[in-house]
Amino acid sequence: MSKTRSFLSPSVAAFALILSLANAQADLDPAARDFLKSNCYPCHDAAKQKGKLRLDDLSTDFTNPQIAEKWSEVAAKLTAGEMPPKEETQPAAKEVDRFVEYLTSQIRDGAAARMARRGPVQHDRLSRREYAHTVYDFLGVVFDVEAPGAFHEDPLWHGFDHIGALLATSANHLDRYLGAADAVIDLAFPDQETASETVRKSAGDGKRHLLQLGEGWGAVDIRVHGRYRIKVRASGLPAFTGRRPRLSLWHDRHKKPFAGIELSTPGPDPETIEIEGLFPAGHYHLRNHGRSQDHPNGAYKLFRNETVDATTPLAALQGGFLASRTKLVDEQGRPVMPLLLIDWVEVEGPLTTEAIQARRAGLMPRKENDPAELRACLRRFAELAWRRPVADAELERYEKLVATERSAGESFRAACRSALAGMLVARSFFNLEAGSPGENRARLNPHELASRLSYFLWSSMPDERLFDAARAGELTNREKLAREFNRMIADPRFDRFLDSFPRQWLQLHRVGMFQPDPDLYPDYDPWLQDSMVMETIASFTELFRRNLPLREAVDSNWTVLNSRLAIHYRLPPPATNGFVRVEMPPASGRGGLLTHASVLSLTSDGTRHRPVHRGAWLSETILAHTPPPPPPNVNPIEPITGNRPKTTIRSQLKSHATDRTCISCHARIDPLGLAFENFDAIGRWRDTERVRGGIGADPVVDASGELPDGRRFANAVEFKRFLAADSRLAEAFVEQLATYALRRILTVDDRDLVRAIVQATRTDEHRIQSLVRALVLSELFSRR
Amino acid sequence: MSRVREGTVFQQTYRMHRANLGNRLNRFSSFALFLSLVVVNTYVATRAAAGDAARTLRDYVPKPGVFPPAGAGVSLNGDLVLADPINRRGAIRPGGDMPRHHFAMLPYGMVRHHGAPADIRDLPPGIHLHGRFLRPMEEEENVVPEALRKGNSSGIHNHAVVLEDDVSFYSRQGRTWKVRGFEQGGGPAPRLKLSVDPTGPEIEGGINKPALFDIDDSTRIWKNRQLVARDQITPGQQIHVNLTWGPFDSLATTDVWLDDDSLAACREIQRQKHLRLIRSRFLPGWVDAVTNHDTGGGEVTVTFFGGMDPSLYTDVRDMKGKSPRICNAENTLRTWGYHQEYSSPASILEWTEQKDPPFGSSGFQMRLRVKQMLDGFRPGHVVRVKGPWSYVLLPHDECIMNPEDLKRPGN
Repeated sequence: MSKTRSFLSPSVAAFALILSLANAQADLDPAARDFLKSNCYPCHDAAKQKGKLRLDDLSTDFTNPQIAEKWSEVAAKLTAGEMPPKEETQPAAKEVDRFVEYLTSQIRDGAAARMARRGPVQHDRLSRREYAHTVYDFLGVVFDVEAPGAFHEDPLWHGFDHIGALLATSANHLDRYLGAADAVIDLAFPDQETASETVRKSAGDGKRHLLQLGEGWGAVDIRVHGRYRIKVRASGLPAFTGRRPRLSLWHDRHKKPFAGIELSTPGPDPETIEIEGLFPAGHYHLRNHGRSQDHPNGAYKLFRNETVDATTPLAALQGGFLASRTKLVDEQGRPVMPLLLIDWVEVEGPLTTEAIQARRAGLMPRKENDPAELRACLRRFAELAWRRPVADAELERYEKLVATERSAGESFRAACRSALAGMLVARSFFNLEAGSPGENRARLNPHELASRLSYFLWSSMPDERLFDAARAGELTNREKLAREFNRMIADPRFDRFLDSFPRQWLQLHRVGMFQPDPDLYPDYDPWLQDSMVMETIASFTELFRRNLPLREAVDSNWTVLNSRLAIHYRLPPPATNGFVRVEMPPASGRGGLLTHASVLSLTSDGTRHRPVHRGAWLSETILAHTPPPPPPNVNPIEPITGNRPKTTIRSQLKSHATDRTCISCHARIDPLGLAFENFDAIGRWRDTERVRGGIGADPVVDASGELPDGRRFANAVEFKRFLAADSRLAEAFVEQLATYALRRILTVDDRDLVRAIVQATRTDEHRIQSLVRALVLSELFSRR
Repeated sequence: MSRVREGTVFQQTYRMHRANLGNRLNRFSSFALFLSLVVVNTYVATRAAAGDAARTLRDYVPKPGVFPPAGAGVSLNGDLVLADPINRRGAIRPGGDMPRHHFAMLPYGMVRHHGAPADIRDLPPGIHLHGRFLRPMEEEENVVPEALRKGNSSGIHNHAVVLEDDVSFYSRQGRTWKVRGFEQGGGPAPRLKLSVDPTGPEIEGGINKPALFDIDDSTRIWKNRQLVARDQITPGQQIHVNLTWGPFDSLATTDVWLDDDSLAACREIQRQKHLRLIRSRFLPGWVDAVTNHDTGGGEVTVTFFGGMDPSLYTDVRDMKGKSPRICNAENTLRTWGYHQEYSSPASILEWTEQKDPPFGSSGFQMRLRVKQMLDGFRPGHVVRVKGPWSYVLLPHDECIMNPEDLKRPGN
């Protein structure tokens, strides 16, 4: 071997090594590379490969699952303090924190990128909620998507139910879509219209039916899904403490109310209540909502099932044979619980309004042998169903289907129904499509933009005016788009956004997920739980409708509550029934969404609050930062038993502040939850923490803390003030809003566009309505 | 001006002293008279007051939720001639030409048989009983209708607070009988009699002098927990007896116990009957106080009636962590049908014990939290509490199954 060759070989090898290193970790953060060099490479390079792991050539392509997994393990070992080994020089805690945070964000971004990988055409399946709204807005048909056997529950991603990448379509989905399409078309175009009828159920002449708390009566059958008008003549008698009854229309199978009203009449004289709305088919009854036999806090069995004379005073309803039943009146003759006295209930429907009829016009051909009319109807139906222009070639298969059905002996109308049902099973119906085959389009076309806008604001298809605007190319004009936005938020359909966005953003589906222990929380009942969620929805609605600054979502001096919540918060009941905006007294410590009972309770485990979970929730929802999960094999907090002195959960989390393994994450998480220590597992105010076991007095709670930047707060009030002024607040909110609107997880590529939206509303104090408008008008909204 | 008669100094002195004495005597007489009047008046007044007090006590009207003072009512004794165990009512025949004394048990009224807690249903017909009877509770005046009280001077005292057979009555107060021997009675219906002397304290309302009780082959004679022949009765023995009607105002023996073991065995059998009864019907008491919550639950404070076997109270007290159940009942202690279903589960908040409780009370008071207040949970109303005992369905005619069952049947 020549000297030159022998010289070149090791040089080439070294060069190749350097090159490979440079390529594999080319985009690694310099600080991260330095960290690796100092702390990891010495044992995990080509020479040593301890544990058969090389880190020096580990790729940084975080979109690759295997690579991301390996880096995740690296982060876990560093967090757990397992690496570097004890005998080696230990890096400073801050350096570890920084490196772990870097890896976590890279891994998370990589996950988003993987999920967001799209081809030229993207299909985002509708959620079942959106499906229901779409068929109603399209054809005026109520379809119960939550009925057993109807549609699967949609998987949630951090509370959001319509993230495209998660909503896969399987053969089972298609099977259900087939069944649903048939049912919807049969209801929209029956051979014979279901006549509307009025059915009244009465307690009897001169009689009234008494409903104690949790009791039901007045069974009503709604045979067909649809729009109904329900009237009830009733009195509502509050309990001696003022607790008001809630009259609910209860669906037996779904075990929840589909409508209801807080009823409190001045005396025993009844009033007539009218409720009009959409009701799925089923057995219903009127219920004095508050407890149910299925609820652990409501296992009533001894209902009186009593019809009384209308002239009998309430105080007389005691003693005698019914002495073995539940008590109705106290020793002074006052109700011991909220009571309802029902005279009659009347159900009218299904109602078919002119508006609904108008929706169906021109969709079902009338003449049996008019191909032109057939094609026109099919075209109109397809354009509406698929929310885009339709080519002739797309209609041919449906025309053929009609012919095939007819030749098989079906009537013309039935054959047409089959064709229309087929259109509802086409992927263009149950997916939101964006993009064109063969091109890599960056922006949405007008129809795609119209759909994005309508599904954002109405959870449903565009209406005729929006379609017209799309056809006319108006939606690319900023002013005209703004005009459409204003029109749409004034439409009653916008209530769907006001209900669904806060539910998803704030993960309200977790409320009641772990039912509070009835022995520990005997006051917790289903109506309280429903009211908690309704408070947050109503408060968000108030924030939007009044276009209040975003900071008021975090820190304000008001809320919107009903009498049930007033009892829970130990406040006087509102002057009127239903949900009312009230000023919160400073002593209550409440104000803003973060002190809603819904928010405070949704992280509890049914027995106690969980401050770390509260902190993680706040980080995720309000600051749009999901903390990394804990390392494996972390010991749970043990309950205090025996002779141990009673102590708070907080004091048992001390290791989070001292243990190196814990600090890196918990210094950022814990203070966000500990600020709310004055609120128990179901959101009630407390000064001491109830500890079941142990000895001594219940300890006083400590709601103070220190933010990662060193600022200290004494309680939730001070914490909320800091948070309301946090510069990350608006950006985080826009991220959540954009996730909801775009139906995908945002990536690093969206960051600048999000910041542009924040900037656009800065001078406007980031008002809620302004933020939503700015998103709609933004570049981000128009992009695929 | 009066003239003083002249005389000797002595005479004068005598006269003076006599005069003084006379004055003093006069004053003394007046004073004595006054004093005696005072004493007599006081005595009369005291007697009258005592009489009033005694009358008040005798005629005390019980109130719901309040136990009667000691000594209230009247004592009567007689043979049990009628029994309605479902409504806890009956009648005794006091003897002679006296009419039957119809009665109802007060809710806290207790029955004793063979020295153990019992119920009307455990008393054999004809058994001689001692009872304490009060006037009816407010609003219960017609429980024993007027027609059944006619001619009975004690008829208005028709609510019993205690009923006990002779062995319970006497042994409770430390009395036994010492056998003197047998005698053959004379007269138109000569019968064998057992001659006995009372041993022990004087007992109000009882027999406090030597007595002759009829005895024949129907008398059960107990020794060493077995039935034995009459020849086992020998003079000098200390015995216990239970009695029934005998001809010509006599009392006849039904049972003679020659030793304590035998009586203890009978007592234990009765105690077990009582336990079985109360465990299946639940422990009775009444409501002292309620706190209503505004969603149908609340707190109930109950005082248990006395006279039950102690283990029943401790069974309930010691339930700890398990759930007693509470249902309401009538003053007859009848419950509604399916009394476990028509009861409310409860948790014990507090248990207190009162020393020297009033007669009728056990002294045990319990505060419960209930999830579902029943209409009958009101102060003064009777309730029954189920301890850790197996649930049994009761005979249907014992329970209140429908509004008609609430109407009280005539005796």
